[in-house]
Amino acid sequence: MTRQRRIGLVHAALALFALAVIAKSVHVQLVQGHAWAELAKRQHFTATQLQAPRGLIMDAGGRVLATTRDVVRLEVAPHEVRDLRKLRRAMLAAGIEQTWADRATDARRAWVTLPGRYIAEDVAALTATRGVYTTPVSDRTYTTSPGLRALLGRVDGDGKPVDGLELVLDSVLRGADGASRLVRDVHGRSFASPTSPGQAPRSGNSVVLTINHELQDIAERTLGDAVARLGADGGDIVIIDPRNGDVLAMAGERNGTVAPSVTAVTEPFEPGSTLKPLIASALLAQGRATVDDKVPARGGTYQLHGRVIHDEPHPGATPSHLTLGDVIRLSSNIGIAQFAERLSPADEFESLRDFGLGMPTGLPYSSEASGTLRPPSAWSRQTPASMAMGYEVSVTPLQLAMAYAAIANGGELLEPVLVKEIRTPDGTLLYQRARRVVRRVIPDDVAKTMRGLLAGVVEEGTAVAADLATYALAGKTGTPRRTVDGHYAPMQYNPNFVGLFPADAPQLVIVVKLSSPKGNFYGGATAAPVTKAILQAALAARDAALDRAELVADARPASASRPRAEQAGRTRPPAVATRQPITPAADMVASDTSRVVLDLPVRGEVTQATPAARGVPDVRGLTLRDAVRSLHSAGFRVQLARGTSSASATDPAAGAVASAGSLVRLRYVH
Amino acid sequence: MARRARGSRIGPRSLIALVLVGFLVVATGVIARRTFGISQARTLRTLERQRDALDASRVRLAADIRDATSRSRLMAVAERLHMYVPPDSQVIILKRPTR
Repeated sequence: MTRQRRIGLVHAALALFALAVIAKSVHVQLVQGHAWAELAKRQHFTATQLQAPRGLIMDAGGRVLATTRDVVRLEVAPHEVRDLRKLRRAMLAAGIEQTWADRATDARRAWVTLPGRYIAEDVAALTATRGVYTTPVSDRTYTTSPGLRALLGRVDGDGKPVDGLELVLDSVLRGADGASRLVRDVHGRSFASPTSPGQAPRSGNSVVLTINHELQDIAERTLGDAVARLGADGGDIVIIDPRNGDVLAMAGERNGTVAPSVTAVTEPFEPGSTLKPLIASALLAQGRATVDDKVPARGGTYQLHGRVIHDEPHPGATPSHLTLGDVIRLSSNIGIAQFAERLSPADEFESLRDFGLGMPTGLPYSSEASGTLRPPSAWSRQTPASMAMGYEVSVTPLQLAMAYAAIANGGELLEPVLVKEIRTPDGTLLYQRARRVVRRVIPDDVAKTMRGLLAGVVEEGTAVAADLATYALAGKTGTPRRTVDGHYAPMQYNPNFVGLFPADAPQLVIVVKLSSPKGNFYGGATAAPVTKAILQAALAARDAALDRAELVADARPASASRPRAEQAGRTRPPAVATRQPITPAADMVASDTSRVVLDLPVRGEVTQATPAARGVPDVRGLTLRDAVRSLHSAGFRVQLARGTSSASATDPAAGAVASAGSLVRLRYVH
Repeated sequence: MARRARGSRIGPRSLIALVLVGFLVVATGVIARRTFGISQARTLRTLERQRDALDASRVRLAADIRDATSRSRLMAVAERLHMYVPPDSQVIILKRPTR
């Protein structure tokens, strides 16, 4: 073989090798390229799911009641730790239980997961130690009073709702999970990819409740005091705004502790005499009776269909006849039983059903009870009289409040509102509650008449212990027997009181129900004073959902301010419950505690209050521009809710005291 | 003229050297950019963790403030100071002037 041929062979071999390399490259790049790229991606990148934080739950004033925070779970690999003693000391200093600190620093163990969740800042000293690992987790935190916890509900360890509003409003509160792309370096450590940041999680929407934190606090505190003082088994308080159905406060107590569920919504009871005004309203609305119609008093004992009905002895001379007004004022069982005979069973049933009894109110709470209202076909001969006296029918405190709200607002049964607003995380308004009328129950004039009769109950009837010195309060007491295991328990009662404040143009409806108080068990002596204590605390509070500008108009003239009930020589014995939770020292309260209302001189400009706190000006009737200017002049930030025409209301309400620079929501009607 | 034309010609070795230098510069730039990006990503992650930790602390402090300002806490203190909830007759409502 010649030299030229050998060189040619080498060149050919090299050329073939080059062709083979090129061919393989083409195969790898063009044919297998996608598969190799996927493999490389799997090795270099990992994807992790980012849990979306649930939305906030806030009260009407914007205070956060429930929020989500990022915390960490701690895991320890003891054999990787260089100084176990030092780690143990750091663990104890961070508040970790000694048994778990011992276990986590036991060199024989390979891996220990510590129980509980920790704020990263609190365990920073631990997490800086070699061998200690953290796993970020979301934690739902409730910064609310114990009484609201049952209403808000819970989420489990995985962030899934369990009960309460968390469950009912899950579709609103739940956000959209995101994904993060992590790059893995040569040591296997992961960090967020700088080139492909992934998809950020989207937080859930925020829910603003109608709950007023001042009233809620007052209700919980007052109920706790009353239950403890009266030795009661428990109690419930519901406060609503009868003008729009807003639920402002709900408190419940059972056996000395906060009720584990929203008992004001879940536990119905026989209301007793607090049902009488509903029957009286039906009589008046259907023209079956007038306020001055009379029935015989029958000397306090009345036999009807084989059953003997009694009346409590009335103060003063026993009247021979009772008007419908007397029946309500004195809470006469005999009187209402006779008046109820003017209604047919169907009329009586439909009247009570129209007031919302026997069916859920529509509150967004999953386990709301509907109460009991049997159809006339299931009635006995005694049922009409029993129901007129508030027996053989059961209601929840919320149902009772909504029924009385119809009397308070001129005759309309409203759907209770618990969710005031829903907003996206960036503040866009998604939903705003609207006043929803279920039906008109009674005419406006009948409602007004009933409010007058109920005011008489407080002024000179069974609820004088609830009487206020400066404002007229309307209301009705009830002292029904308590049912235990399907039978009436001896000497056990569920005294209750429904108050409408103020009587002429009610802004609040308050239902107070106690279970088996010891000693004096009458509703007028137990539940009524609790209502008075709530109202006094609300009047003294900074923002208790009261429109003080309207209150001034509803106040009694100073000269007509009523003396305290116990000074008026009333026959109903004042109960131990009439004592205030905190009694003023004798030398601190003037004997003449007459009300003082000062009229400030009208000036060209709105007077500035103190820099720290000031009253919200009344902007009703002003144009949008003037309303905003007035609020700005008073030192508030203004947020427009909706609408374009004239200003209708503010939140906080006109007259409420709010700190300078705080946000006032200005609502408008179209 | 001819000398100038001959001096401005770039030889093949110089061309290869220029291409290699260019490749080196571009590769160095890409690596520097990615290194900087990774460093920034780490810093960002650290800051996000700090923010989350601070936010968690804020929530806890808000809860503490709420507890400290609740009636159940304040009323006990108020009782010791002989303070009381004023009856409604002692509450003065000032009428605000309207224009």
